[in-house]
This record gives sequence, C-alpha cells and structure tokens, in this order.
Amino acid sequence: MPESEYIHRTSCSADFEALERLVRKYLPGFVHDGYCRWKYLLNPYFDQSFVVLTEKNGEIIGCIHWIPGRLKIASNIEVNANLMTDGVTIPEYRKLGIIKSMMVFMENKGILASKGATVNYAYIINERLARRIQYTPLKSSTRSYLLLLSWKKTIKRINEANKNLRSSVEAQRMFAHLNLVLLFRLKGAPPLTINIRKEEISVSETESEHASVIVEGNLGTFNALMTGKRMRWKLLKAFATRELRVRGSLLDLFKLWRSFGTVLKILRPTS
Amino acid sequence: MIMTGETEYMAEEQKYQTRNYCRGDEDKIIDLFNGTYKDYAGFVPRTREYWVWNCLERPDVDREGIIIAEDKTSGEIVGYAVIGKSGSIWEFCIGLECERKKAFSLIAEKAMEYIAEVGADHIGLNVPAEDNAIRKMLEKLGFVESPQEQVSVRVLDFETLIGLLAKNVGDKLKKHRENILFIMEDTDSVTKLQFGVEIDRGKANPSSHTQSHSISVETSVETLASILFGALKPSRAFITRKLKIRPMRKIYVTLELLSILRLRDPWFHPKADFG
Repeated sequence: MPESEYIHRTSCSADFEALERLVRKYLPGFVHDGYCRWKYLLNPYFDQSFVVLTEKNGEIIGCIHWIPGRLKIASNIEVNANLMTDGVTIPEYRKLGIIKSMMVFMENKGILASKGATVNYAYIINERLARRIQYTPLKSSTRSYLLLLSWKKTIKRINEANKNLRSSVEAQRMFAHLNLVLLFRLKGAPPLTINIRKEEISVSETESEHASVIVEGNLGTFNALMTGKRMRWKLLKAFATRELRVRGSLLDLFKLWRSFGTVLKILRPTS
Repeated sequence: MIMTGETEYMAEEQKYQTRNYCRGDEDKIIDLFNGTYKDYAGFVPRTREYWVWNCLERPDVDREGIIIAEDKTSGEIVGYAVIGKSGSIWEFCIGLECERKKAFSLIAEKAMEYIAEVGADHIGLNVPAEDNAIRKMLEKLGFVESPQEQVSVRVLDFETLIGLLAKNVGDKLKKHRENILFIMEDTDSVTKLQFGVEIDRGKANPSSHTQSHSISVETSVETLASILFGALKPSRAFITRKLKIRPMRKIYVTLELLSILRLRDPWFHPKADFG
C-alpha cells in the first residue's frame, strides 16, 4: 500500500455523519436507524479518539471503531479492554491491507493502550480473517440458537426476483429449462415451497405435494451454507455427512445442480 | 386440605409470574446476570451504567420487550430476557437457584407472544454450551444451533496479563523461582518484542530483560496469546516448534509454568455484547 496516498487519522465529532454513512452502506445487515447514534454517541464508554479512519483525496475510504471498557477474561479476572467493531473499507480498496495498517497506526500512536487496556478483542465469524489481522481466535463456550418463524425475507426477495424475471428475456431463458418445485423441510423453520417456472417463481410457506426436489436437514446447516464462499463444496460436504438430505429424480437433481448459482441468488440473503 | 394432583400442579405453576421491566429493577437484574454467569469469562461484567445503555437504551428494545420472571411471594427476580423488535434476544438469564424449567417456560411463552406482536421473522439467542438444561428446552421448542461469531483477542500488554494470571493461580506458582525472558516476533506492531517476567513466591513481576534470566522463550505474539488464553496447550506449541525454550533442562519447568498460568474458564458472550 503506497502510504503517501492514504492518510490515517483519528476521528473527530465532525466525522460522525460520514462514518455513519460508510458503516450503514457497507455493513447493512447490522446497522439500522439510530444504531450508530446509540452505539457511539450515547455510549458512556465511547471515546472519539478510539476511532481511526483512512482518507484518500479527502474521501473517507475506511474506518475501525474501538470501544474502551471492561472484559472478564477469567471467572475472577477483569481487565480493561477495547472492543474492536464496525471495521470497514470501501470495496475497491479492499485487500490492500488498509484495515491492518489502521490497526498498526492506532497501536503505534499508543492510543489503544492509553486507558490501561491489556487486550483488544473482537467478534469475528471468520477465523482466517481474525488471524490475518493478528487477532487470536479463542475457544468459545457460546452457542447460538435460532428459530425461524417465517420465511418472509426470502419471500420478499423472491418476489423482487420475479419482477426481474418478467422483464428480462435472459432471466426467462435461464429458468426455462428448470421447471422445478423445490420443497425445503428444515428443522427450526416452517416448510417452504419454491415453484420455478419460465415466467414466474412462486413461493409459499406450505408443503407442496408435487415437489420435484425435497431438501431436508437443519436450518443451522442451511444458514452456514448460505453464507461465505465455496458453496458448492460446502453443499457436497453437507450431503456426504448427511447433514442435508436431498430427494428427487436424477434428472431434476442434475437440473438443480446445473442451475445452482441461479437458485442460490434467489435464496441467499443480501445482508 | 387435600389437594388433587391437578390443583397441586396449578399451585406450583403459579410460583412465578412474569411482568415487564419497571424502573428500579436494574440492580436486581445485574446481580442475577453477574451471579448466574460468575463461572464464565468472555463478557462485559454488568454494571448499572453498562446495562442501562446496552439494553434499556438500545433502539431495538422497548420496555415491553424486557420480560421478567419473579417469585410471586418474595418478589425475587429469577430470570429475564431482553428481546429486540428484530427478534434477537440480547440478554437471557435464568438464575441457578430457581426452578429453571418453570421460569424458562414462563419467559419463553411471553417472549413468543411479544415476538409475534412485533412481527419479527426469527428468534435468536446465545446460551452457554455447558447449560444443558436450557439447551434441551430450546431444542424442545424447535430451536436449532446456528453459526456464531467467535471472540478473538490481541494482547497489548503481556507483562500485566501474566502478572494478573499469576495472581489468579497464587499457590500453584509458589515453588517456582524463575526469571523468564520472552522474545517474540511480531512484524507490524509495537507490542514489546522482548520482556522479562520474574516469578517468585507466587507472584509474577516485570523484570528488565537486560537482567540475567534463567529461561529464554522464543515464540510469536499469537502463540503466546493462544497459550495464555487456553486455545493452545504449551506442550503442543513446543512439539510443533512454535515455542523454543532455552536451556534444554528448563523445558519441563517452563511448560509447567505456562500450563499453570493459562486461562481455563469457559467463554460466553450474550448477543448484547457485540450487537
């Protein structure tokens, strides 16, 4: 990364709105109305100087927030610790080491240790990413539980996809050969039937009696498949370990496999 | 008075009742949380200031979303849940002393009603892996485990950390008297690359690394952090050559010392701590 092009600095109160826009735009799943105001401005522990940002030609292209506070590291040990959160760079500047260089900037300035912190910590889903930014992933005893009450977000997404399908000849061609009725029977979620036709995809939270392909398993496994990369590989692994089971005629299964990317676009959450 | 089985059951059912949060509950809630999870690490210890900001003032939470189960006669809070309009249960706690199944059922019932009312499409919460009773009850309600974010740490001050860990283990270190020099590789940061720790009479104090040392340990920042936070066994680090110990006759004692110092308590974080 050519250092001269990028300027790192700690934030000031005038940066709040620009940082909020950046975080809202690139971390849309986490951020909602009033979230940044609550998380930072109303937070009694927040310190503006614990936010670092990177500018290029006067535009903010990345930021990381730390929140100083306390953390229990053992049942009877509490330490001062900084929670690293909402670290983001604009997509065109990713993989240039900007996040890491912002972290080094903050450590070299001595800001992160200024309130007597012994550790920085972060909640990171991807272990490899944690190691890349020199954070050590720990063994956790936390288990997340989920119960899906309704597929309404997926249904909304499919209805949006439908609009594109009606107006796009190319999309219609893609779906023309599919002609499938997919039934998802996942533990932890209501049943979901997706009927893919040339002109339309219809969806309902019912069990179709005419399903051509039935996917059975666990919502947790399914969610893990829907996030991250190497989806086909993860899907194969889930089938091999019987975490997900799929039933249908060979022809239908082959059609589904061929159009996997397209079907995935419909099912995969955007945030 | 002779009671039938049914009335007895009803009388027991009514031992606890639910209500919404009201002003003045904070201290009881905080005591319950800190007491229930006292054997765990990995979360922000609850104080009134933190809880008010983190739960009460959270934009996703309104007062109807904070459901409290209390003992009908004593008024003691036995459990609570802080539920967001998004469906996330930010904090969930059932005391260890109460009849947990009953308190859980009451809170779960109210939580489902509230979530249906606000129209959330899912319910998600974090529980400790060791709490089999709660996990079983969740599974009975149809919940499934889903992928979760992991805690990762970066140590800023190893000397203070080792001092705290030594204080924590106390007597176990008493027989040791060593002056250890840690030499670490860390390419980018200002994390001190060399530091000395003097272990004497159960205490670990920083020592100048120019002082003569009895043991030298060459490692990386990540390896030492992994060992101290219990993610890597010292013996494994040594076998895989992530830990080089000199002189050779001190290998056993160094591994023993690191093994004594490492943290062992389970790490648990409620959703409120990162969301």
